[in-house]
Amino acid sequence: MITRDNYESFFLDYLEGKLEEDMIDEFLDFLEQNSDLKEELHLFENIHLPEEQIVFSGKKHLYKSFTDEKSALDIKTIALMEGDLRDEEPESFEVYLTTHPELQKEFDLFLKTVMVADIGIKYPDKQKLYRKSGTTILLNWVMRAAAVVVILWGVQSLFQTESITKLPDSNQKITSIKPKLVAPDKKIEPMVKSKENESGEMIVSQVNANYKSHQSHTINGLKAKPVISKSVPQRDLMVLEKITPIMASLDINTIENELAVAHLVNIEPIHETRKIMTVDEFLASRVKKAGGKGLLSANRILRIGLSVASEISGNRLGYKVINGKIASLDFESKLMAFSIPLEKK
Amino acid sequence: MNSKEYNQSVDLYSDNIYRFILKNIRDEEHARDIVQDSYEKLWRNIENVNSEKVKSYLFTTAYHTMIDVIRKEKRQTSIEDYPVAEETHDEQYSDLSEVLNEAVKRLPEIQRTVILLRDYEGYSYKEIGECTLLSEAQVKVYIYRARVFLKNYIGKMEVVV
Repeated sequence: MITRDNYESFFLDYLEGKLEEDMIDEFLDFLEQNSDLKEELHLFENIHLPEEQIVFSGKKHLYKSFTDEKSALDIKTIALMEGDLRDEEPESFEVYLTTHPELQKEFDLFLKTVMVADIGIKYPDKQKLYRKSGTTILLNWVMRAAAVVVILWGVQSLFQTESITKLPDSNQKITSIKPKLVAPDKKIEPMVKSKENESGEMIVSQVNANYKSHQSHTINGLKAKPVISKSVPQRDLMVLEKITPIMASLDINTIENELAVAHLVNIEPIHETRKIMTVDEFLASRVKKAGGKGLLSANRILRIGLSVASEISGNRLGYKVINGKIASLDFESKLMAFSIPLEKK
Repeated sequence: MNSKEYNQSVDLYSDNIYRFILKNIRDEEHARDIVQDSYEKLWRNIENVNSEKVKSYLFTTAYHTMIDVIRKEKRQTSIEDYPVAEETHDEQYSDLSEVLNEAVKRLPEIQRTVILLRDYEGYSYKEIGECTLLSEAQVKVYIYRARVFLKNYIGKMEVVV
């Protein structure tokens, strides 16, 4: 509601055109009812302040360039270093620097902040990071398995060789029991005429015959083979009683004796295997039979196998090579160490 | 990605990641573990990682693993034991690189990370942002602050010398 106490604010709104539309009718009615205030309103309409053209002459001194900002140089320099300046900005900035040598030191300090990686620092455990393909892993396992097989072969052949070299001992034992079996007398000849056919009797007679031959040294060479007669003569006990017992003794085993005993116990085939091949020779013969030549030599396979085994065992297992052949296998650990010779003497 | 490309990534990036982590945490044992752990994760996800993105994958993985390690270490280290990063000028430096290394040690963790990725690996703002989960604007700000800090540190050292 417009009254004579609050009309001024409505006058001002009216003159500035901000009077609300729903108040306009009320405002005009108020003017009609108050003619003195209507004249006052007309007086306000003529009052306008003239626009003055006053210009500040020292404006040039107020202008600031980007370098006048405290951090402007930093921003521009870093932007230049990081390659963030566009178009002609880098050139204009460098020109600006040349004209302001006092900024050059700050600029140089910024350039020194660029770091260079120390390529001397290397990751030490790189080998642990590498991964092997499935084929490689499979091949490695095959190689390991092959190495184990080769080693087992070698060990087995070693034991075979050792057992054969022990044969003279057994031969001696057989020799020592000879007197118990048959009396060493020429009078036992009738025994040969015995008709008994038991296997035990046969052996006794053969041993007798052998001993007899040993005594007389009549067996010639390796080719002499005793012939087992089918009809074993019956013993003449009366004759045996008259035999003077002879004490058993360890005789020097001649080749003939060894051979004779060997024939008796039917170990002739074992004698032939005294020429057992070494692991190298065996593998070489196998490869030769298989038609393999050159690269796939037994020696090479054995060495590869042993190298792999050595690697697996942490260098506990090793081997020595003499004249291109593996001479011995060596094993060394905290508890024990031994060497197994492989070469045939 | 196959095993061959994986092994190539070992040749190409393992040293870089190791340097990056070592510069950040200055602990060789942890750095080695983090590199190994990153490659383990890569190997487990080898079928899902594109060979072109492998560097980014490795750095991102290494960075986040490093953050985990740092947080874990912080939990285990009491405030009294933790080194105070204050500027002291008692050290004797023979060349700029030593001064710079010393200054880098004193940078806040995130600033150090972004500036190492920038200078050592030449990563763009975007790449650094992807690695550290920051926006490009944030990366810019951190690089700016790091450069200013390094510049001021070098300047002070030169004055002292």
